[in-house]
Amino acid sequence: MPLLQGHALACSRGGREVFHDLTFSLEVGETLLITGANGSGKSTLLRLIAGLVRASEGTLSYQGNSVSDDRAAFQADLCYIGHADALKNVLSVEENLAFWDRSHSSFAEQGDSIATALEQLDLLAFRDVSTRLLSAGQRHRLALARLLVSSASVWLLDEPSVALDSTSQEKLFDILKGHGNKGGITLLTTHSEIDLPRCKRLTLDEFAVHHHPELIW
Amino acid sequence: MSLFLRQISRELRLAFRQRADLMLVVLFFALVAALFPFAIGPHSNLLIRIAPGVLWVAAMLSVLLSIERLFLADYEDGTLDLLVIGPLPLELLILAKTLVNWVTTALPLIIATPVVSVIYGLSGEAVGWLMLAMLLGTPSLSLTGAIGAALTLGTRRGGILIPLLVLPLYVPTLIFGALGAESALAGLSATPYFLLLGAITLVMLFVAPLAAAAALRQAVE
Repeated sequence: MPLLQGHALACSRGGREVFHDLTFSLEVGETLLITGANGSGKSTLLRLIAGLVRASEGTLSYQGNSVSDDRAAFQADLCYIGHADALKNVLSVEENLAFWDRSHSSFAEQGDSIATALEQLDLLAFRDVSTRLLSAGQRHRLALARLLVSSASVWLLDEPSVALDSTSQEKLFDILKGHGNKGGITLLTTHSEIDLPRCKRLTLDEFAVHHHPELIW
Repeated sequence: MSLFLRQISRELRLAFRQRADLMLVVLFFALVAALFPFAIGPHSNLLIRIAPGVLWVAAMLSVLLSIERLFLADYEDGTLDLLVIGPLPLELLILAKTLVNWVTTALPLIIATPVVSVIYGLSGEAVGWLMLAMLLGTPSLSLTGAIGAALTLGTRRGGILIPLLVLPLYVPTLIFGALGAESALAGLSATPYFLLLGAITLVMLFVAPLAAAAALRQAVE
C-alpha cells in the first residue's frame, strides 16, 4: 500500500488552473523528484500537500486515509522547508532551531538532538552565533537542520540544493538517503540532476493546463 | 498548553531582543500626548477635562503603530507558513501573539501614563482611574488590531490600511474609556463604563482569534 498518494489533484491560483489530473504515489522509503519549468506549479504542489493551499479537485491520502479527514495528524508527521528560511535574525543559531524541535520533552535530550543536527550540517561551531551573521548557504543549512529535529516521516523540500556548495549538497543527499533508509519519504522540487536511490520522478509540465487562445476570447 | 507557553516565550524573547522598538512606541505615546497642551495653551481646567480622551487617543495610535508588525515579520520570512501547519491551533497562536503584543506595548503605555499625565496636571486619583480604564480597555485594542493586521497581510499598503480598518472599531472603547475616567473624577459611578470596557475586551477575546485565523489562512494560501 502506498504511504502517500495523490489522486487526480488539481489546483487553481488566482483563477488560473496551474495543474490538473495530477496523480502520484510513494511507497515507504521513496523519494519524489518534482521537476518542471518555472511557474509549472512545483512549489504550489508542495504547499498543497503541506495543507497551505487547497486543492480544487482530487484527494490526497496518507497511510490509506484521506488527509482532509484528519489534517492535523498528517501535518504533525510532516516537515516543510520552503523558499523562505523562517529564521529570526535576532535569535542565535541554536535558538532558531530549538523552537522547531518538538520531539523531546527534557532539555538535556533536546540539547543533544540539536547538537547532532547542527553537527551533521557543519553548523555546530556557529551554535551561539547570531543568525544575522550567517551567509546565505549557512542560513539555508540551518533551515534544513529543522528536518533532523522534526522527527517527521514526510519531508517536503522546495529546491533544497539551491545556495549549497558541492560538499553541503553531498551532505544533504546523505541525509535524504538516511531518511529513506529509515522508511521516511521525501518530496522535493529541483532543477538540477539528483541521484538518489528509490527515486521517482514527476514532471509537472505533463499536467499543465493548456489554455487555448479561442477559449480566452 | 505547553505549546501555547512555548509560543509565548518565543514571542517574548523576540520582543525583548528588539526592545528598542518597544521604547519607540512609548516615546511616541508620550510625544503625541505632549503635543496637545502646546496646541491648546496653559488652560489648566481645559487640559484636565480633555486629558482622559487625549491619552486614550494617544494610546490607540501607539498600539496601532506596533500592531502592523504582529504577523508581518513572520509572514515575510516564512515562519507563518510553518506556524499555520504547526501543532498549535491557529486561534491559540493568535492569542499568544496578541497577548505578548499587549504586554510589550499597551502595558508599558499604562505604566508611562502617570508620567505623561503630569503635563495635564491630573490628580493622583484621576490618573488611577484612567489607568484602571486602560487596563480593562487596551486588550481589546490589541485584539481588534490583530484582525486588521491579519486582513492586510500581503497587501502593499498594510501600514495605512490597518488604521483605516481598525480605528472605527476603536470608537466604543474610546467613548467608554474616556467617560469612565471622567465620571469617576466627577464623583459619579464609573462602574457601568468599566463593565462595558471589560465586556468589549471579553467579546474581542473570543471573536478576534477566530476572525484573524480565517484571515491568516487566506493570507498564506
